[in-house]
Amino acid sequence: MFKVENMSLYYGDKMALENINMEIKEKEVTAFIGPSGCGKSSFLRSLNRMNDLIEEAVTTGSIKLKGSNIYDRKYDVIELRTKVGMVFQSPNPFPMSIYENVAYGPKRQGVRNKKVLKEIVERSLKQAALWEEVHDRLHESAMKLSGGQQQRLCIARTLAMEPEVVLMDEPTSALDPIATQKIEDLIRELKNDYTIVIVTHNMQQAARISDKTAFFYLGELIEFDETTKIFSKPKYEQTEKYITGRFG
Amino acid sequence: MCYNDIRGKIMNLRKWLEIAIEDLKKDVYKMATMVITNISDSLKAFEENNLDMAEEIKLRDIEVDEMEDVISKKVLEIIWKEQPLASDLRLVTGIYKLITDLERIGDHARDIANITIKTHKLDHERLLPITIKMAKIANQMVLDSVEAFFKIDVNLAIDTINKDDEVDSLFNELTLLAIDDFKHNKIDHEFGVYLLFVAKYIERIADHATNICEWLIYIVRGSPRITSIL
Repeated sequence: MFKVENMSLYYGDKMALENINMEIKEKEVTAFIGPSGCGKSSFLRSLNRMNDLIEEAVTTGSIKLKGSNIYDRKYDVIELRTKVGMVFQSPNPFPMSIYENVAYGPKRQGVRNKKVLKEIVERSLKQAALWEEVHDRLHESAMKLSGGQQQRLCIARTLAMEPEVVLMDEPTSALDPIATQKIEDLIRELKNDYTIVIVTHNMQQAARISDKTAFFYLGELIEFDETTKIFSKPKYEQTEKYITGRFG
Repeated sequence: MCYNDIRGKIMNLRKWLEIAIEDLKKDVYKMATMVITNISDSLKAFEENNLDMAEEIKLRDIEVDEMEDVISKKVLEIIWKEQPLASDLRLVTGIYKLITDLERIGDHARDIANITIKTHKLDHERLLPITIKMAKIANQMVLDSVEAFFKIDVNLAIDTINKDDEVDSLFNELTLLAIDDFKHNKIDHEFGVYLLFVAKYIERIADHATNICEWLIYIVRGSPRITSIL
């Protein structure tokens, strides 16, 4: 899905990511782990060019999505962010109804047919495992939902755009264990249809839900391998030290 | 590089896990010492036809079983409480498997003691030398496997694994000799049957010592069992 080659990211003079090379496979869950400031979230944001919003950010190298370099000048960023959706750390529903939150994206894309919109909303909420809980109150404010429900709503909102990739930046760090479990279950389900890339500080979560894990440290990709290998016998000492808690 | 060396940042965030693992290792050492004593004494009791020593070993095996329970509980507690990963996970799960092998060696020490008790009045001469030879190798294998584990000595573990073939071939040799002795009535039949049991227990003891070595190699290298070593 993604092929990253010799990619570096600078915030002004400061190098945030150094010479990253990685392939992210389709319909797999890829987890990024590493201590705060290691570059994992910066790298996640690079995958749908969210770093463009930071004035000083400069990216070198290439990130190809299905063969096309997303940093090519001709690449349509709006189209990129439709294909590569993002869910953030804190649930951030729009202050409008549940229905409108999900229908917002498709409407902005020009979908006007109410029947079609209704179908998109229902499908997206079902995919996000929220439909059963909200189908009889779709026109109530999204702000009335619990934190876990709000996060699943944000996932539904992302899915409504029919992305190919869903990026998740610590999607459960603000949630309680039950809501976290629901999101984790959802990620495992979504893997059948989407490519998922998740940043998490919770190593057990990475171990539970991901197929591949990448360990970042001080702006470098130290190790990228099957999750089973990373958590049972990592190749590199730095990875071993991090996941066994010998440094942070 | 535009950042600090990794060594400048080393700190231990798993103090409690390390304390728990050290405590676990002490218990494994205690259990291993008990098993080593029991197996050495059991083989000696059989060789010397020592009834009192055999009776004592039967009682001592109960303590080995209790120790296995204590260690198992501690392993489970470490897993749910500390959630170890990578080398810590391999060590803890390796220990969990290893104590089963230690416990089985202990069981065979008790089994041999039982046979010593049953056969102490029978004629002990025929086929004993080859059995004693097997016993010596197997006993040394147990000692070396435990030493390899505590010294984290992969080379000693591999050497020990390789000795298993010697025990196996001695067992096969003994079986053929016993068959011949049975055919020609050169051996007390009751003792002959029990002796074959003892030989089989010794052969299994060597297998369990081999397993212990393989667990050590798994703990160190993370590679699965024997196929990747030899």
